[in-house]
Amino acid sequence: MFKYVGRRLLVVAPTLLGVMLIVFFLTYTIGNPAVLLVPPEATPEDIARVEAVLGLDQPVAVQFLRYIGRIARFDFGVSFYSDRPALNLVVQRLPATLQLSLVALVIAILIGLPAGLFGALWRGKFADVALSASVLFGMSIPNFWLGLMLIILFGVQLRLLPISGSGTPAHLILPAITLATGMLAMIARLVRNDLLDVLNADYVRTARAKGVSNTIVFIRHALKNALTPVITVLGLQLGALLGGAIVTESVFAWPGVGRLILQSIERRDYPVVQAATFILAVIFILTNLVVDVVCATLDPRIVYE
Amino acid sequence: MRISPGKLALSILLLLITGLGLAQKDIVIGADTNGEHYDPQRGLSGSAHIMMAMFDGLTRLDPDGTLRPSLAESWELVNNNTWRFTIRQGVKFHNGESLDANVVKLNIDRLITPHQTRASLGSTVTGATVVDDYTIDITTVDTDPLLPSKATGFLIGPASMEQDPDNDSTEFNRHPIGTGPFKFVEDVPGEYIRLEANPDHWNGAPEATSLTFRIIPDRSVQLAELISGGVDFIENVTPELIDLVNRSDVAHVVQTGSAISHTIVFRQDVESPLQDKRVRQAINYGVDIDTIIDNVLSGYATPLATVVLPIALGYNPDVTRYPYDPERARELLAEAGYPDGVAIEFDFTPSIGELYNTEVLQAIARQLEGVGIKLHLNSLEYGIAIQRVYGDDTVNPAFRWQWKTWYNDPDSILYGFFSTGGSASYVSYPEIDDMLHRARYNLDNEERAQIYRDLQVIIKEEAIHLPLYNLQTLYGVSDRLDWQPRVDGRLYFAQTKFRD
Repeated sequence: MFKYVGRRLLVVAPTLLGVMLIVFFLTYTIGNPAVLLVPPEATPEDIARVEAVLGLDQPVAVQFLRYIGRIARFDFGVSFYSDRPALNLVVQRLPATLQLSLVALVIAILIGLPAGLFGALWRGKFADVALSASVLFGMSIPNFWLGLMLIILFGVQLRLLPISGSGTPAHLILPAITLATGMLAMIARLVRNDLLDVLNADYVRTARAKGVSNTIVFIRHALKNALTPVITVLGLQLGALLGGAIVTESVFAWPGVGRLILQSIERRDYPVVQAATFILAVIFILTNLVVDVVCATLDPRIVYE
Repeated sequence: MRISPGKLALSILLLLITGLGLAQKDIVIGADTNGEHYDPQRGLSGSAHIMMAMFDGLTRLDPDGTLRPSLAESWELVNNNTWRFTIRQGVKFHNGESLDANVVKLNIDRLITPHQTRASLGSTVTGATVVDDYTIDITTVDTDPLLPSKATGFLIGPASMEQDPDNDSTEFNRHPIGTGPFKFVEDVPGEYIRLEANPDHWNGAPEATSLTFRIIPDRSVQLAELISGGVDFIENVTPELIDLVNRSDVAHVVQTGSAISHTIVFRQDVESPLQDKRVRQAINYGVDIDTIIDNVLSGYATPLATVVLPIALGYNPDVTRYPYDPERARELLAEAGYPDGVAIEFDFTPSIGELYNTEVLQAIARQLEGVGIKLHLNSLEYGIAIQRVYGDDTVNPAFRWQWKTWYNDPDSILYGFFSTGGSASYVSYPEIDDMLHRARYNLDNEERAQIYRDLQVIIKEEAIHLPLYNLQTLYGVSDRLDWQPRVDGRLYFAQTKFRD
């Protein structure tokens, strides 16, 4: 297994290089940040001077080589807007995003998993239908709308929870619920369907025929096997979540990475966009690796190659 | 040292009272963004409100736009190219450094260093000369009647700002120091910036003990925070929500005319039917702006005849909008050789144009369709739009734009839209260029006003734009505050009083 992990880690560097290459050319094509930095009265000469300061007057090839050189030293430069080191800006925002994502994920698992389990157990009964309906609702409801509704109910009407911002655990509740809802519904649905598939599988029937108790069959044989796809999906979800839940972060004024990236793209603040993409790519690659390892541990049919 | 229980109790009581007082006089502002840069020569427009709290300019504007002394007590023209400013004595920066003419010179020199993002503000300035400790001469390329007004933007930082030889303001930006009514306390990127009152401000200490600019990107959430008392101040309340705010018992709406002119620009420098004056006039005749203002904007806008606002120097009340006359529009179109109508590519950006911009444009497109002019509306992302209009001039033949009038003077907006080479100008009229030039370098305000009045006649006759309106700005303000709006749209809290 260590060999496998080692080999996977070796691929990280070229993957990152590829990502950074794409990011460079994408940022290069979406336009000129100098125009956005100067006031509207600025003359073309003013714009040209700012371009020169930002190094944007150089040929693309020169800019690209400089960029690669900087990245190799983990130097992403400073934000065009705040003059702060781009990497610091991103790293500063990571804890908030991690906190929100993990809490949302835990909520989603704590509710979604049992919901899926009971749905499978009570298949076709009223409870299952009710659960399925709620799941459909949870999956379909748009994040921003749910967030606003929660704000109106718990923040404005009942005055139980803070409306926006961060700082106390109470601030975390509404955004975490908003973010968890969609995920929770997906987990519940996946668990239910996978379990139903597995419960009909031959090996489960064999286990039952051998006289193994229902509980043991359910936990050891069915659940363990049903979880593999759930974990794969969860891993991907977590990767995406760490990229920042842009909508949820914006609604609740949560100071996470997602908002920073969105704002930086709007402003053409390339150093920050590049630093953020780099960090996110690293996180995503590592999350995927962890998911693969966990899946292989759960399911001996998956072999490390 | 021994403290008697009585004294201890008294000091605790005092502490509690002042503590409560502090809590009550904190003003929390819900803002879209903070701008994040607080260097007096580099700070960007997004941080303007915060800059105004921390820094003073050489001059300042009253809420109604009248020019007043600030760090400069007085100013006079000593010769055609030189303005002499007398600097206020005894002014201290937040870190205790003193203000004098040398410090002002340093700031002016720094402003006109080409790579500063705010350099265009000092584009007419050639240099500054210290006359004595409290007198400084600022020289300009040509006679600049607007220099004292522009000096409202010449924000002054302390001498210690300039320690880095590369002019890199990273360090200073982490802890900005000015002379303004509020001092920097902390900046948490993405969350808030907090300032506290400067009790030693030359113009008296503000009543508010602290200001917190909280970033709340979603405007519905800003409103939710306002009506539940979470923030004391928001911008951009929409007309249909005025009642909600006023009925909340914690906040009210303050309304004022904005200094932003909304308009539709026609390019005359690219091949299109808009090169024909009759087509441009047809468009002007074909739009019923009053109906749009009433129905789409709930009446919260004033139609404009040209981009020149009524508050601006040389506003010409005799120049009126083209009346709504679809018949005349069709005639003109036919005369221009388009009896079967024309199609025009049109660019807009939802975020340029503020309130219900997209809906307004859809209404205009519908009205123009009725006279045979088909607008193809293309929505552009903000950065792309800025790039196409100010950068590489690849914008479509007609586009939606806006411009703010500064110091109640039309110089910037007229240059921007109508001078050859102006940053949002796609026309070239030598006559207009000449008039703009004569007004810009003229010290006689009455002569300038007359030139601007004449200009508006030409701008209308040529139908260079389809002028739209200027909006009413609606602020949501906590009932605790007596806050005064400003013509320039800047948020200023140094004079804000608390209702008790």
